[in-house]
Amino acid sequence: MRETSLAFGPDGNLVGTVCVPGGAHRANVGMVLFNAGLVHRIGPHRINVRLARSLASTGIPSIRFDLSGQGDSGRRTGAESFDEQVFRDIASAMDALGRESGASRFSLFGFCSGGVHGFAAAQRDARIAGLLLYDTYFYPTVLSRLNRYALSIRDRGLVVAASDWIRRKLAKPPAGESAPVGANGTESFRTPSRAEFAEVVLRLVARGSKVGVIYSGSFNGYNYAGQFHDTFRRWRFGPGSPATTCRPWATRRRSCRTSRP
Amino acid sequence: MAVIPLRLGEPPRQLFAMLQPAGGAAPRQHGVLLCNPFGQEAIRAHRLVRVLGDRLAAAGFAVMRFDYYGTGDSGRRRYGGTPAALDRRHRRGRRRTALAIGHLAHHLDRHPPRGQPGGGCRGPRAAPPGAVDPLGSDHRRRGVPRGTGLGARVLDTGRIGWPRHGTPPQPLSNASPGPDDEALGFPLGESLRADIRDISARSFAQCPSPMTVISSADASPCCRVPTQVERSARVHRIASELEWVAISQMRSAVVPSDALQAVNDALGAGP
Repeated sequence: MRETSLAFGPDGNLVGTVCVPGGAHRANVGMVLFNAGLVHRIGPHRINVRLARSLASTGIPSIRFDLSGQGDSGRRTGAESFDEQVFRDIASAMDALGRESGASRFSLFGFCSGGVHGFAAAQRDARIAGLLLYDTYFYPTVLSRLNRYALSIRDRGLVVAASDWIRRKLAKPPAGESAPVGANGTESFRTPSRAEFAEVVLRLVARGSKVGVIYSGSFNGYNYAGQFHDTFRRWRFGPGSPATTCRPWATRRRSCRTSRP
Repeated sequence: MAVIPLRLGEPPRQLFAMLQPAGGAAPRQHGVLLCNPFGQEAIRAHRLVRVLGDRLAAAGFAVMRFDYYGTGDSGRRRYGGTPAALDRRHRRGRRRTALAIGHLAHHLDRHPPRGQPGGGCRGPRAAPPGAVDPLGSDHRRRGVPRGTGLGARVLDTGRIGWPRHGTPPQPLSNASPGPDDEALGFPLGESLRADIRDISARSFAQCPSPMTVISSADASPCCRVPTQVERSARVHRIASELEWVAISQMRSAVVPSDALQAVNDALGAGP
């Protein structure tokens, strides 16, 4: 395995580390790893570093990098919108990884808000052959709502849980599935509706890309193993459809308690 | 401002570093090496360290920041393990470090550098590089001579009054580390945590270089400057409203400008 830290991009403003397998066998598909929220490119608990080295041991090259203005990367001019800038950054990272490793197709690993960027980029660049969304979009079902209420009552008691629920309902107007577009006009953090999400996934699968979703249990809105399939039962994802990996219910209770604000 | 990403050393022990060449009209004579905090604080402070580097570089200092071995973007192939295994590894590493320092001291004592009269303990000495062993005192138990030799010096880490912070160490009940038992994804064993808590103020007092300490005026007990350090160091107190240790700051990426300005002022006033 060989790791090279480099500056790349049109102005050399982006900073990343390319991890190339040392053996003769090298995959033609490279993995692109980037920021999760404001955490710099190493990812929460160094997940990107560890994932990159683990991938290299199986022959898969990768690049982990900081988007413009985050981590070690420099700011850009601001001439483009945030969404456009993120897409250009990801495209630059794919170019750099291609130069360093010879890979011509790429998979994106999007962690939390990184999944939002990956989801948008995968629709625009045909070189993206794989998309892995980690704790990105989830949609409530009847059972997930019941589970959530049960958790709340178990942890805080019926009276406190009920009064909190009433306070929330009174404080907020009823929201649909889609959050409003951000104040700065960016589309990035708008959660797509189920239909939009399913349509994009089906389009990517039809293009030959693979899509995977992982739910760690960090958010109590996704709280049982079959929630993804229950959500998208109508769309009947066929062969090549998203592979869902979920932690069992029993292992996520602690994280439910600790993640509550 | 251009930055130069580097990987220092040979794999698998390569360290990631970022070099920021001095900018501005008047480059300074010396550079600044920025040392990260550790664990969750390293992630929370990354932005601060980066902006601090930018400002110092703009003020004419060549700046380098880096990730320690096994953290950030630096090398380390093996991770994790149970806390008990980490403890065993830590003790083993500590013994090896102490032994290596002892061997080096012994070697240098018997073979003084060419041109230097007499044995290391008797002859005039050059300024020792000062090998610091803040994480343990096994050399005493192992019978390794301490503080002898030429060029290697083990600063005593006698347990004298470095304020203990947090709650006393609790036995780890399971193999899955919690937020207090790990740093950047690998668990901290009990003995390592105890040793970190026991780092002595005396080590800082013996630092051969002039030392400047920047501290919040109303620092919580864990961040208060020990009296021994106050005697030997220049202490800047700043009125920062930022509480680094607060859980409420966990999700914030904050850059306290008052702290940055204090560092700039302290370095600007130096040689």
